[in-house]
Amino acid sequence: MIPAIGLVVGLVVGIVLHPDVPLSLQPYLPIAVIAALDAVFGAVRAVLDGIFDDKVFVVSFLSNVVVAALIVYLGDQLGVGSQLSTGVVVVLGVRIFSNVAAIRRHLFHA
Amino acid sequence: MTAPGQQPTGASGSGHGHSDPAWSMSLINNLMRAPLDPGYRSAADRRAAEGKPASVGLRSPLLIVTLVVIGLSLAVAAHALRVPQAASDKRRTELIGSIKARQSTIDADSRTINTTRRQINALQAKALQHQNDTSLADRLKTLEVTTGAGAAHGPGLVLTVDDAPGSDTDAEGNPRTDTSDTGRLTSTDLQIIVNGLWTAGAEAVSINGQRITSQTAIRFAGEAILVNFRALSPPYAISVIGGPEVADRFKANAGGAYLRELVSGYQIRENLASKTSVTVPAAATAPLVHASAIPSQSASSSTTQGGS
Repeated sequence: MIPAIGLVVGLVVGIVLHPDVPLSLQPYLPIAVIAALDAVFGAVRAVLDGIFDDKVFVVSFLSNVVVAALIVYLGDQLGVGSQLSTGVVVVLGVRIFSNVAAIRRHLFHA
Repeated sequence: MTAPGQQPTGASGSGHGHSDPAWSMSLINNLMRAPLDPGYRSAADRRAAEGKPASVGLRSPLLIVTLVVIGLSLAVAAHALRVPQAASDKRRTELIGSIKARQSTIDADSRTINTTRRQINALQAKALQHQNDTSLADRLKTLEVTTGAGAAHGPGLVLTVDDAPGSDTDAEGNPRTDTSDTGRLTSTDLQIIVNGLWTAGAEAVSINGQRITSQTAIRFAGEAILVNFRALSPPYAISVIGGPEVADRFKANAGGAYLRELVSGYQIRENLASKTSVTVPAAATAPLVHASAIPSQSASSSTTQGGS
């Protein structure tokens, strides 16, 4: 419950303040969001599996974001930024879907 | 030459190696079967070995701070990525608005030009009547028809040419991609066809209502063909005033041969119809400010042209 409140507080703060993101960082935002969502859904599944660990969650979130940003940056330098972004989105999207499916099985037993 | 050379190496590269055909899918299999970070399992095992519960409670400050950061980044990303799209939409509507405004300006201006031209014609006719000189009025009419300043009608033919079937848009419905360029008429094609018609004895020519005068250029801008600086869209109906022999002569000369080649080689559609009455509209001829006739030759015609 408390983590959900934290998420909502973060959302509200972001909507109220809506700080400007530098233009050079904007290509990384969608990838960072997908990586963050992947970490969150992984954490929810781990909670339901009864093996949650906060350090693992934070480390997986940070490493997801950093690696995703690195891949996009490298892709931009090589001129294949959009293709690599698509790859990252596909991989993380597949993971999000299968984690959500596991969460669904836990919650609804279906 | 490179494509056939590359094919065997690519085929052999994928052929040998792992015997399991699904080997290349192992990454996706991994993702589908074990989507959870293995760190959770190993951390739980370690805690279990230490005698603690497998799962850590959800009240750790680290977790809450991270979730606040994630929520913040979600909101910021949604906000930052939505704004540029709205801005581009705004620019788009601005551009569309300014195009429409200019188009209505052009429409209004051409209406003014037409009414003014009618007034000029009426005043001209009146002035010439006062002079009781019918020959001058007749000569003015002839010159207007010759130069394209006046509309003309008479027997002739209408030659309709169109792009090859299916070349107007590609599969995505975008006419500007260059995948099917070969079936599209270019300004050069129209130039050669019109030149062929002049050679065949055409007396007045217009394309889609744009009169070809001595000041006309058939040119292109992007994909569009411009005649008298107006963009035309296919099919191109070329109205020609001339005797019955024009069609036969056109078929025999270089322009006709070129058109036949376009039809057979690029599936350009063509239709030549003889008409008993063809109307060729007047062109918006610019007045000649600097050009004047060379004095030693026919001075009378230059004065009449300058007056018209």
